Amino acid sequence: MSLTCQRIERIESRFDKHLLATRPLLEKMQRCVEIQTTERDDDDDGSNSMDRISELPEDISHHILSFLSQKEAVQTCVLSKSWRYIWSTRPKIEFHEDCFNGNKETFMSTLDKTLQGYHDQKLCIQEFRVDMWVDHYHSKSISLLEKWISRVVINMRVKTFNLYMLAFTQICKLSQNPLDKVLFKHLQTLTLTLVYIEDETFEKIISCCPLIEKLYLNSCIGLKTVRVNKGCNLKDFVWLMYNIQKDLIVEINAPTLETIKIVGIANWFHGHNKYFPHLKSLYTSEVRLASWSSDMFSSNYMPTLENLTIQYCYDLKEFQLSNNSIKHLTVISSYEPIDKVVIDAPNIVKFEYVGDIAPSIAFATTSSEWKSDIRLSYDVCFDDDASSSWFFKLNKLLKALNQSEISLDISRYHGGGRRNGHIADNYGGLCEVVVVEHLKLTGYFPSSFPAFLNCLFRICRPRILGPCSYANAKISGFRGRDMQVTEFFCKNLLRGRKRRHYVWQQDLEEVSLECFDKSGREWHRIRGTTLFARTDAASKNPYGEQELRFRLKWREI
Amino acid sequence: MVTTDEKGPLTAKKKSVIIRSCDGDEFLVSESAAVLSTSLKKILEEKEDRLIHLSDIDNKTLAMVIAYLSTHADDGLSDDLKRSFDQEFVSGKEFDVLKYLVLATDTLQVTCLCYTVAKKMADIMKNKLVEWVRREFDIQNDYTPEAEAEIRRLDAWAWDDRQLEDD
Repeated sequence: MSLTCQRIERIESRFDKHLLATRPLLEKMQRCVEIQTTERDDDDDGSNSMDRISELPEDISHHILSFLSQKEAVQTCVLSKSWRYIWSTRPKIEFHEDCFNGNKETFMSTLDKTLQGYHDQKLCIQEFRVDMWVDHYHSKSISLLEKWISRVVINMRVKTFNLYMLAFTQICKLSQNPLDKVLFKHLQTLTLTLVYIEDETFEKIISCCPLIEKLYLNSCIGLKTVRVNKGCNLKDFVWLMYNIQKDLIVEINAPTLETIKIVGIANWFHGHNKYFPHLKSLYTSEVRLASWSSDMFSSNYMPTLENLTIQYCYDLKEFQLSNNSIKHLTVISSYEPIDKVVIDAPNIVKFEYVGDIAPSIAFATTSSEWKSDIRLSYDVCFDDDASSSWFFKLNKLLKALNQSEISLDISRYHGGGRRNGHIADNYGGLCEVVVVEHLKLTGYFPSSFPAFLNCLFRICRPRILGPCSYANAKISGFRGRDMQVTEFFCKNLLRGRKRRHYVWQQDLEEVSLECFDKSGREWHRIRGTTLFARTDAASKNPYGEQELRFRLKWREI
Repeated sequence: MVTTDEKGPLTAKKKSVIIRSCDGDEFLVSESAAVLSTSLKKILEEKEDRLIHLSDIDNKTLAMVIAYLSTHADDGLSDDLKRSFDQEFVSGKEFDVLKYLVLATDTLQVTCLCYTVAKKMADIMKNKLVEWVRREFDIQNDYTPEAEAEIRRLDAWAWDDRQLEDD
């Protein structure tokens, strides 16, 4: 380093005022930035020539204004004369009919006037967004839209086009479908919400947009077949259909895709391409995948897939997932659990499962540390047999997840009957205890709780139990039941541990109580006696509700 | 980190550049940080000169930009950490400081910092009364009251139903 530094000063001392905010990284920075400096007084820089935001170059003002809503941008026109027209030339149009308090005429005339201004000055709009209400009786708004869509898209070179048509009836559509006639030469992002388009329009859009990268279609009624062919540059594709419609078909062949999200009862056919070399994130919900082979998610077809969510996809009762790139895997299923699943994802970071019954999953060996998060409902158990098999399946799942740090959350909102918890002898012998890092139980009925816990602790031993709510006052309903369960824990884990009502108490070596400190946002240990002292002095207690958890140490088995 | 430094001739060992602000202060910056600015990158590609003089950026602003560039050039920091650095970087700064920053990032073509700062400036303006913005940004109102009323009337919808706060 040949620089002859007369004096290397620490940035901190000179520029501390501005750099204080970056203190956490200051040290790193100091290694990189060394200042050679001559003596200079910094205090007199207020006399610099530029001191008004009004003197910023127009493109910077536009950049700043592009983060504001249309309304906020318009308001800047009264700041001063130099601000008069800046908003009206910013490269963004964003009109929400909601802002016009139901005054449709004003909304339409304002939109028309504003767009006319851009049109007359031959200005470009990068981002176009209109959210409007449409109904049968108001064909004016539709014809206005029809008039502008092609102009906006062609002449104004829109890159991001976002149309949200809130319809009172579902059959409302653009009569001549102006989207049909437009060559979207510059379009990169297209979002259509509740816009009626037909298959041909969609095909046209896809084939006429050489630059389109992001396509979001939300409840676009009329569209029965979504076919994305090879040859386009699509990176993000989102298709959501919340209306129940028959025979919807999704067929995606674009190998450029990085994100795919398909939500709705549709058949997803794999078409002629199954290979997605860039796909990072895949989310499917309610989609029928019958035409796919059971190894569709494997590295062979999706070699870069990191996030996979499979929700209510009942065709996928059995599948193999052999994928080296998967980091997050989420499976959500309700009454029909996935059945035979083999997962070989050596780099998995988190596995999540949400459902009623524990699914049957086998995991191959994983190399790194990972977490699993299992959320189940005990509500499905109506008798001893169901209960018995529920616990047995859970035990099998926990054994399969043994390599991970397990969090288990079991809820139960319907009580009574014989659904207390039961493990039949023919299963009992097969069960073995698995260590669970976190166990959370919600919605329990105090009367049936001990029996349930007896079963649960036969198959798993939590290190941390909770969080559970605790309050001094009596609360009714579900929350009240949660509190009673917490009382049960306090009684049997802390106070009455030596009395040993339950078999599992023998294995408990140590219990400590922790309380969540909301201000510090962390757990800290408290003494059980302090808690009880608070309980006993309920009337004077200033603490109210709190979150507790128990840290348990079990005897090695 | 050492291994990446030793790779290839282009990312060769800690090459550095001297950048001089308009008030004459000089900053030693690693080349990997400097090239995050498109303008500096172009200059460095065009000439061998290791001293770059920036005639319209003052020392305070330049120090901040360099701090930003150096942080973002550091391979040892995670993206999350860089994001939170960005947040802290613009928080609590006075409007003038942000204004010089946004101008500097525009000159130096540091797109991501320009975005962060412009967004921050917009956030400051959001949900504020016109009077507040004028005061805070030191904008002289050169409208006559009649002219202002007339302009407001033209786009009356934008002033309907306001729920603005004046701090």
